[in-house]
Amino acid sequence: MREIVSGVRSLTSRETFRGNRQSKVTMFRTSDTEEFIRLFTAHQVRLQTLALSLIPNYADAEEVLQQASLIIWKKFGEFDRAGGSFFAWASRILSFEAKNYYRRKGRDKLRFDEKFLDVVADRVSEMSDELAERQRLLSDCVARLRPEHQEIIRLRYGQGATVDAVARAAGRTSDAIYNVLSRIRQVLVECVDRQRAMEGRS
Amino acid sequence: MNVGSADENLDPVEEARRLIDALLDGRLSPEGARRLQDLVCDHADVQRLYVRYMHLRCSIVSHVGVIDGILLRETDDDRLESPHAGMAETMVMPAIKAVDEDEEPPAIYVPPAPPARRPRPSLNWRLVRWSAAAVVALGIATSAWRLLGRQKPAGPTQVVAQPSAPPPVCNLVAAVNARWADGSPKPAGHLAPGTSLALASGIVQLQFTDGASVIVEGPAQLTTDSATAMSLLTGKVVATIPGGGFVVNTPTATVTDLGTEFGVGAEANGPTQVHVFKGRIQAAPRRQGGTQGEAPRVLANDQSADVSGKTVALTADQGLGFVRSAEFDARLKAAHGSAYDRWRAFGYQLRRDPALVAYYTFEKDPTRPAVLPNTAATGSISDGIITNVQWTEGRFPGKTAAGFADAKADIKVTIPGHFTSITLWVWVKPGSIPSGGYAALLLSDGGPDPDRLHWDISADRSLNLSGLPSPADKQVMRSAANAVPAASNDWVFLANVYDRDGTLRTYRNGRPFGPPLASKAIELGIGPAHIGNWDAYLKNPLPTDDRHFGGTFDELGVLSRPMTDAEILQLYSAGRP
Repeated sequence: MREIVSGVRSLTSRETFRGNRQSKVTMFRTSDTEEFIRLFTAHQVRLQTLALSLIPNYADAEEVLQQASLIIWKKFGEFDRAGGSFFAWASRILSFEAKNYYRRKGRDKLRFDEKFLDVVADRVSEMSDELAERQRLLSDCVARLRPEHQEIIRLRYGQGATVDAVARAAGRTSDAIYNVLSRIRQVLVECVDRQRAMEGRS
Repeated sequence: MNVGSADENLDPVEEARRLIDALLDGRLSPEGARRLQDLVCDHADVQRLYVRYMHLRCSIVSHVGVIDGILLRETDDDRLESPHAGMAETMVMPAIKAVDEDEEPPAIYVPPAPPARRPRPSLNWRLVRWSAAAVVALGIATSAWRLLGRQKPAGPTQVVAQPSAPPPVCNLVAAVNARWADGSPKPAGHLAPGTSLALASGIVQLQFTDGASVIVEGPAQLTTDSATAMSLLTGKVVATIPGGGFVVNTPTATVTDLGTEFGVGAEANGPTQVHVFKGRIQAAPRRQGGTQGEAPRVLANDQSADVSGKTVALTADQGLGFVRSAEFDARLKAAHGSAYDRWRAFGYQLRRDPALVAYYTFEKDPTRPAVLPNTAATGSISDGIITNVQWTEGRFPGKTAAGFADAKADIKVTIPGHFTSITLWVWVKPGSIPSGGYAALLLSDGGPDPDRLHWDISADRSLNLSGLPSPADKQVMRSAANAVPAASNDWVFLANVYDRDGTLRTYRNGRPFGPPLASKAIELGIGPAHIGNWDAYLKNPLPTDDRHFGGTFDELGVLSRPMTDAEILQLYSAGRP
């Protein structure tokens, strides 16, 4: 991660100081930057969702999104800010990078084929508004979980503890924790579904 | 342990859910990934489920701060055995010890009062890190932190105090098609004591902080009095209280729960209707002005009463008039759009029809796999006994149906009563017509019994309803040929409506098939009967008596009145896969 960030810094520094290369990267004004950050932040979880949907490994998905975010940044000048959908535009770049990832990785990992990638990317785009709503509604659902289940989420996803570590801390078997995590996920997804129904969406 | 073998007994959504769980837990095998890929590519429902789970995985990290109000430390150390883990072990072990793999599902927990929360960061460290590349590249870290709304961890002095607001007494936890009366604020989340609600239509669920769950059916007007009491001016509620002690006040009654599930209906100018589904309640008359009337009365299981300002009078069972939690859940799910859920929700509406004599939904009860429950209000007297039937996939993903491939497959039922009009319907996959020339749908047991009704499919695939007014006068009414499609893999809805004037109408997939047939008016009875077979053949399997159905049953209903064309179309539409 640090390598990626520092690479970006040096790459951008070079291009920034070339001045007259007419690179779109060099032409950004502060307002462009703020606009990019605003858009990227607003769509970040949806882009993460797309990345993880396409690549079944959290660390790899993160790496691909990181790579894609650089490209999205570099190409931001090409984005039609007047009428284009940032998510649709950025997700095309991300999908392309996901396919590149699979080409690079060969066959040594869990992998999905291109048809799957296309189907899922289309579905994520279609559900973009829904995902924004779900993000908003999730906090109430998490807050309503029983305290012991909140703790498990905090350990597993907040602290990054392995299931085995959570199990050891709890004095339970790993399978028991897997079962609880599964039920928590289902309850949260269904809770958000209900919240959406309450608001008249389905 | 890797997970990933295909399970052909699961519906695609449920199978996908298990595979997604395995994926998110890092336990999915390559074979499982291929299976998940196929399920996603083939099923739109699975695509949506998959995306929702992936979104949950990504977004839950940003909600972790909600849980304990602690801003997580920014770090690049993503190793699973991080230094934080040891700290967490010490901190949370007592709470986690309460988690058990055998416990009930993690129901949404409603705390007694909203915890005072520290201001939570709008984004956590990981969110910042994901966009860090662009931020650092431009050397605008400072402005980015401002733009991203990052806050330092709140110290103790920054805890938001809530000294003046009264603690909430209940939460509005779910709603189906809720429309609030004009001028009434749309409530959400925690409700304070004394909150008045005016629900114009729809159904909502309130969870009181002392444990009572209350389903409110609109139109209704009510007030949340306290954590253990509410006032119902008009409308219907069903309250479920595990421990007892909840009170519902109406203009004419005070209903006190003694550990139960009960319904209360209040009208502007009439008595309060009370029905006990389980346990006991105390119903007390209540005079205008709030004073108590005559002595209260305790009601128990399945008892109903009207409570005026003076008296408590037992009445006929009024339970069907209330929306209980199972129906609420079904309607809540139906609002999400699954055809299976919509059909289930419609079933509750159907069961309110007092003419519903028998209703077999062919949903396997895992605790009684050899029983076909009659889900009509007529109850277990008409439950079916299953023999040689194979449970198989029904017309909705996740639903079961009964396969009659075996010539001895049969479901024995008893349906009491005599009917001058009757509506019969099925959802089936027809099989081939057996050697006896007829395939049984519902055949009364044989013999010279004037009550006998036979409903079957003949060799020319007409739909037949036959009755026997007298031993010497057999009457068969047969629809036009090919009313029933040939054996196929498609589900078909078939119905006959016999009216008291002797006319018989036939329907296929919700629409009339052929003109009505005129016949003489007779009284029909069913009595002991078999679904999908005939007792004569089961006792003595002569080829000429072979009526075994050979296909698959997914639903069968009997109504003791004629349905209209519109009702039949509605019935079909609600059950169409």
